[in-house]
Amino acid sequence: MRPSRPRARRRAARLAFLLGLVLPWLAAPKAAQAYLDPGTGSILLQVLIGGVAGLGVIVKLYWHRLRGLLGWRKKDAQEEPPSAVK
Amino acid sequence: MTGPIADPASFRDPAGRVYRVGDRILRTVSERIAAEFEQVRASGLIDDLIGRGWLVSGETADPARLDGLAGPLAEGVHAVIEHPCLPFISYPYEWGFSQLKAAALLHLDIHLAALERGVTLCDASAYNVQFIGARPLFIDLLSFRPYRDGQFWEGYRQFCEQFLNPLLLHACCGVPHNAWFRGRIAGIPSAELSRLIPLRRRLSKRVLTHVVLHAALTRSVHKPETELTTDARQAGLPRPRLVKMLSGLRSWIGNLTPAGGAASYWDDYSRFKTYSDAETAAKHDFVRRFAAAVRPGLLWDLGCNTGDFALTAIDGGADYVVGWDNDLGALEIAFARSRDSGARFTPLYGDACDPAPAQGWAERERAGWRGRGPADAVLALALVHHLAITNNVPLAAVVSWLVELAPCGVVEFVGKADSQVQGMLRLRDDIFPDYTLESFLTLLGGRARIVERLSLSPGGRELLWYDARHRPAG
Repeated sequence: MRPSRPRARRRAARLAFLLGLVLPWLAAPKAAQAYLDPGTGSILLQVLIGGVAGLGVIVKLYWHRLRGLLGWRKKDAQEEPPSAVK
Repeated sequence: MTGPIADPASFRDPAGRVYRVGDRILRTVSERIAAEFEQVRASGLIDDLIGRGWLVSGETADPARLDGLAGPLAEGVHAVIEHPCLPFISYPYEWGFSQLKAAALLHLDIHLAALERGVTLCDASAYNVQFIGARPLFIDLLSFRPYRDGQFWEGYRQFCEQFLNPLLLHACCGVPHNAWFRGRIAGIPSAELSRLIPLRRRLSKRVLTHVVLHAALTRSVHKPETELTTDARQAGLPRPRLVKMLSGLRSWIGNLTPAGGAASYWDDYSRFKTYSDAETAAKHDFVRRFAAAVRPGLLWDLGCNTGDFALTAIDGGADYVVGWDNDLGALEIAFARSRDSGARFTPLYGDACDPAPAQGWAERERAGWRGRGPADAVLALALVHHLAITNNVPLAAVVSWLVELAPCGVVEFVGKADSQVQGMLRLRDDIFPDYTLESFLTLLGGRARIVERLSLSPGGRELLWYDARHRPAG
């Protein structure tokens, strides 16, 4: 059965969103190997200052967190318990 | 020739290390960053910054002068750079507000100049800035790395903790940064400062971004999350945004002033000092003659106040003066005088009864007073009564401490007849029967030769020029 038109639009929108996230990654250079830990929060702030491309990262971060908060996270995404140290 | 001694603070970045060989300062550049180092050198930035007086000079060491210095100066080493030996190493917790601000502005100016030549700074340590007189000087050649478009400012958190937040603590909360910074030598975290900033200050867009939001983001991702870090790193910070960020910080910091406006006790010293102008002139003359005779390379002025006698000592023949005082208001004036006159005088925050200790990794990373001494000479004017009476330090201990700080100096003894000492004793018992000029002379005379003495006021103030290199016989 062919998908209905609204459903197709939703799929297209989701694809565009994912492309928006992925394309900047492909275009961006690798970060330098710093001897200093720049701090995740400090990097995130710069991501925000960086503009549109960075916004996707923030949305992604908090989207994951929101899902976790509402219990929508899939079971297979859960970590396995750490194995005992031999 | 003595072997190379690694600087105890230059271990973090494997790109190189600083060694002291006798009185020479040598910096190794590791083979692992040879290409990056040469790329930075070829950019012309280093020569430009040295020419502007912003960066310490450095020349490739003459290989002939490295003979016999095998090991750390040869294995895995791409180049050895020789730097001039700085007159004195000071730390950000010993700087006043204006000094820390000057260091922060230099750091940002250097970063902006570097970006114009395709170079960035890989860290933002306040310890990489030193002072020659009142002029800040960047000293870490290996902080410079080639810039790749989109790269984050790796030293941003460090810049906030070691420059911005300490300045904001004073500018927004009216609390000087010194004690906190000394207690945590990596600086003041945004998450902690964020809790202290008053509500009306939080409403500023810059405070909101660099402190409140920065702290909130740090708290929200306290544990490193690999996926997030990878995503964020790849998103990047476009160059124009980085330049705007640095320029914005520069303009903000340039306009910061300390809040609180607490009047300094010593700030007003010149108004209520208890000796006459003739006494002041005699005191200056004594200090000038001492400096002219001794010509110390490095003189410590203990209790330097606004720098009157430090400048006189330089005028007399001292090459460089480090002044210590525990009054930040007086130090602000001293710093401004040093900056305006261009004198080789660096005023620093320090309390003789509670000097900055040796601390950091293995308690060797940052040296205490003794670790940075001895000086060639000391001035201790109107200081002994503060140590002996306000702080109950036995006179014998004061004398031992003085002669261990430097082999010679000028010390002023202020007797009980002086109105200042009487004021100190007004509300307490006089438990100092031995606090007399005679006792002090006996103690000092036992450790050093009294070269010259001058009575400034009968029973009151006495200046003593001593030299412990010529200890009295017996």
